[in-house]
Amino acid sequence: MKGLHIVGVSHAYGENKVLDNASLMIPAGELVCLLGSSGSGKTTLLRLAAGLERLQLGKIVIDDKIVADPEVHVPPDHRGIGLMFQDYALFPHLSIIDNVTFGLRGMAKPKAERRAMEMLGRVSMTKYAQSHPHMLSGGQQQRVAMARALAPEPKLLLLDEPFSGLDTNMRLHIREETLTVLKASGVATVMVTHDPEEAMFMADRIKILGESGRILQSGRPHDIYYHPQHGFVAKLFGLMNRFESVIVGGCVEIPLGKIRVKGLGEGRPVEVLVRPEGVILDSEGKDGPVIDVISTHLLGHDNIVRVRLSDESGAKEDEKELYVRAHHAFEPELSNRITAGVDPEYAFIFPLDDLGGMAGAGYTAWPQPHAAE
Amino acid sequence: MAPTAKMNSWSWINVWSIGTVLIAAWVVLPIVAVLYIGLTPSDEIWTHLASTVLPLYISTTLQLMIGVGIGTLIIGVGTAWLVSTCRFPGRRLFEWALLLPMAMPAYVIAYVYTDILEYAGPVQSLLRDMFGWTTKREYWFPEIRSLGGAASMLTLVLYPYVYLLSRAAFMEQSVCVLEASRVLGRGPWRSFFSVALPLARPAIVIGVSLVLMETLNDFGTVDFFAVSTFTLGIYDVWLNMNNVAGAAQLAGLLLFFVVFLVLTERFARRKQRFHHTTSKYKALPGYELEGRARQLAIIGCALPVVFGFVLPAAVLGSYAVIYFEAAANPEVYRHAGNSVMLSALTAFLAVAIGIFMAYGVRLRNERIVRFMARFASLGYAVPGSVLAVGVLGSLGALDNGIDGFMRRNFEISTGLLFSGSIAAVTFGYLVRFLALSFGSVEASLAKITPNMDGAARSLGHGPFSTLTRIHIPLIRGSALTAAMLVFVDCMKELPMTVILRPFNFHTLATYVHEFASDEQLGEASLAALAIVGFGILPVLVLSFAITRSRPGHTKKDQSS
Amino acid sequence: MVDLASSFLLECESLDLEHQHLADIVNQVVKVIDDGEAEKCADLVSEFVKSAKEHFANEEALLVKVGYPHAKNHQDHHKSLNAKMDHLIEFAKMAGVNHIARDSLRKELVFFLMDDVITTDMDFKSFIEEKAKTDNA
Repeated sequence: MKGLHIVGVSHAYGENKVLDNASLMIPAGELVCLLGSSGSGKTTLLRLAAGLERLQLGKIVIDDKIVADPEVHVPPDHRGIGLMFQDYALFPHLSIIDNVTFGLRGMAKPKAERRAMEMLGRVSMTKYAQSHPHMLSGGQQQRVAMARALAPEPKLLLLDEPFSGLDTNMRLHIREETLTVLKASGVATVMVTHDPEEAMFMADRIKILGESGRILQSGRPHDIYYHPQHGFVAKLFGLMNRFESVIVGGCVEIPLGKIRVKGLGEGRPVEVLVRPEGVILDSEGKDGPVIDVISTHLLGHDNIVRVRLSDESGAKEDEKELYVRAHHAFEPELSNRITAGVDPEYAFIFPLDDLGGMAGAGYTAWPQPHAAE
Repeated sequence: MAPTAKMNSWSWINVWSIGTVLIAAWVVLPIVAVLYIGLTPSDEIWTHLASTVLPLYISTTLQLMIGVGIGTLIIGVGTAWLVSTCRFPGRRLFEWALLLPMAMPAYVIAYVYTDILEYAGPVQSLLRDMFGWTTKREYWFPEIRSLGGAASMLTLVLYPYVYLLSRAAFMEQSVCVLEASRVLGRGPWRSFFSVALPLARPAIVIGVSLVLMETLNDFGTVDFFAVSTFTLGIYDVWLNMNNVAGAAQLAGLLLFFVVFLVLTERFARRKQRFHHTTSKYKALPGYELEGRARQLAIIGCALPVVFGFVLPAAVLGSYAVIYFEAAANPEVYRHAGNSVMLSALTAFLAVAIGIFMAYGVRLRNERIVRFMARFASLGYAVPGSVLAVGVLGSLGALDNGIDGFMRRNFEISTGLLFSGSIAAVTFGYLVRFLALSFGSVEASLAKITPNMDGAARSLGHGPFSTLTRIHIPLIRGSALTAAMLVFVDCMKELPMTVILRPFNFHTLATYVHEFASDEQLGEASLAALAIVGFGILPVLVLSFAITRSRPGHTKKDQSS
Repeated sequence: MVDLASSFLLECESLDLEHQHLADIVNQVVKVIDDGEAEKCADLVSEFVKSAKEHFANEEALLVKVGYPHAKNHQDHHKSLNAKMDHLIEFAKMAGVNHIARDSLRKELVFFLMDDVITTDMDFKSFIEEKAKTDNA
């Protein structure tokens, strides 16, 4: 089947294990993001797929052809892959057009140049064909790098933090453009990033890499955001309000209210993570614990509000301050009593006593998400 | 399920890594040969040497090293401190002019000073005329052809190493550190001794070790002045006593001095890395010197330049004019041709091999490859005399091997194929100067991000194509500089050429040595001047680099 | 189209056949979507989910039988896929009328089978291979 298939890859630098039994399959035309903090081995996985690093254990298959296992090592120049780096790595001594034709070996020069111009056209860079890389802005360099990587029609495109060199406004624009170009070319793409928002924006599927290269969860951005299977995954996406509690009568109680839980035994200690949008503020102040607003920060459509639970709420001292995402219409100035509640959809519950037992044999299986009801 | 490294333990084997290891082994061969011959039991020569000349060699060599070490330390650090932190007229000029003596080979300056300072020379004649002395007994005049004389000559041309490195260290010291020290109430002098000097110490140590390596390498000066150092001893035992084993034993012993110097240098380099506290430099404000201090500073900087370069160059120049007929004979041109040919060949090979090895290390950063590459670049520290013994020893064995093989199998005697050929000279040069090209190629390759390799490889280019189409164009500038440095060093090279050259074959250096030793400096003046002229090339490059890297002097916008 | 080349085979006949059966259903779903008969998706996907659950049960039983040390982890992994299967069924119900549902269904179905089911099963491939060898010996 066309695409990239990585099976059971483990990798270590000396004693330092960076990948542990990592597996993934990317069908042609799809984009998978490897999301993880630095040192999670995501870049190593990319370099292994590219052939820039020798495989120690496992198997890498591109379009049904084994390109690496402990005996086979197809060098990068014979793998038919495209690579794009954080620093773009354009060749400074070559003009833009020569950069793009560099990968069109064995193609007659006029043909290669036509193809290069076509690729530059796709990223709207034709008029810079004769320029040199240092004359271009970061965003323009990024486009050229993509044209260069896609020109030889690779079977697989590997992107290493491709947008981190761009400023925020530029980034939004360029990643949308990149997505359009990638989808049009139908290439299987792996993108490495540490930016969860970027991963959610770009990916058909996200793979979360935890420490020492264990894959914690894979799924659609929606799955990852609304059904995190591990506290680590839940915490990746922005601020979280964290509480500790125990299961009593099929429920878990936090200062914001009770949440029903199924699948976890009575008396188990749990960690409850509530996204800022899962804390509901009520300016009518009907029921629920009373809060004091510490500050509000308008983000545009939403407010990020820092609040503090009143002393009567009975919350532990370190669980009193909360982050809340509220609609822009929320104006604390105009109400005299505000209460808070919890939306169970944005609350995630993970057993606290289970973590030790999870250090199994490199499984993607992690504690079950215990859907709040 | 831990990743096993076992199946990959031989994975470093490919053309590049094998090539790198083989080249390195080949370059190390002469050093191994010296140790091998030296350690092979032979006749009673060693006990004989040990009881007669060895103590003399050791004490003379040590005295020379101490003299040159102290001399270059004072001149080098002193002038570096003056031009980097003080303000006085002519400072900009001295900044690069202080490098000029580097262009003078020590043996050339030795011939010139002997010529002007000996009994019949102009200085003593002038003194006698002035004071009406008629015989040598009536006055005292320092004997130039002595240990002290040799130390002075070497100091005059070697101090720029210390100057260059300590100046860079002073410049890199953050202004803040020095200013903080002054704000805390320490005057310029105390700041120098308590802050600037300790911070610059690793750089100074490196500079002095390089100077001492060059001192051990020197043959022309000590030979001419008959100062019995180790190097001279090796030549004496070999050429006059005709005892290769004895020479090799002395050479092996000399290697211990070298090992000590190399370790000192490496240790200092490691320390140096920790001394870069900040990368924020701005132009040093400097102490404005006034009155007496200003005059002293000018004189202090002018003297080394005048005595190390201006005066000897002027003397050579005037001789070249006076003796032009005799000096500009066709032979000299032929020797110049030899010099240029050999130096250019070596420069080309050294850079090509340097690129190959540095790229091999880059492709496969395996311990063995890295280690061999490091080992191969030790040649710069090994005195030419020692290498000459090793080159002849190893090539002799090779010649005998080929000869034996051909005789047994084809009944042809090939005789000595390599020994005493241009190949032997080139080999010797390569071993000694490979470090120069390897080092600068490696440093400039390191500036190319590995992502360039990744990009080129993923675009379908193999390692070789990537090298020729990406790396070589990108490092062209420093590769050319490296080639020039090797070229100039080969032009000046004397100790190996003297021994390894084919019969009746001269380079400019050996020609100058032969004539000047016979006190016919006039005839050799043009050739000597030519060597000095080539020697100025790297000085120009260095001074260009100095003006460009001057802190606070922003680089021109590259995008224009 | 999904096709299971050698890198996706477990070399365990019964499980490979079940994988192939699941792949066949995925290909049918892709085909009906391409043919503009997406309303047929719902039935196909419920059959897919049913077959997948049977497959999980068979596989879990087999892993326990051969004494695979991490059988429990694999079982947990299967359990974690329940939510995804629920999504697949919901997408399939909407596929007849909603083109985004069609796209998501096609994409997720392939990922689910290839990445979540078959690729994860490769974890125990070497174990059952070893097991088969020692049993034969």
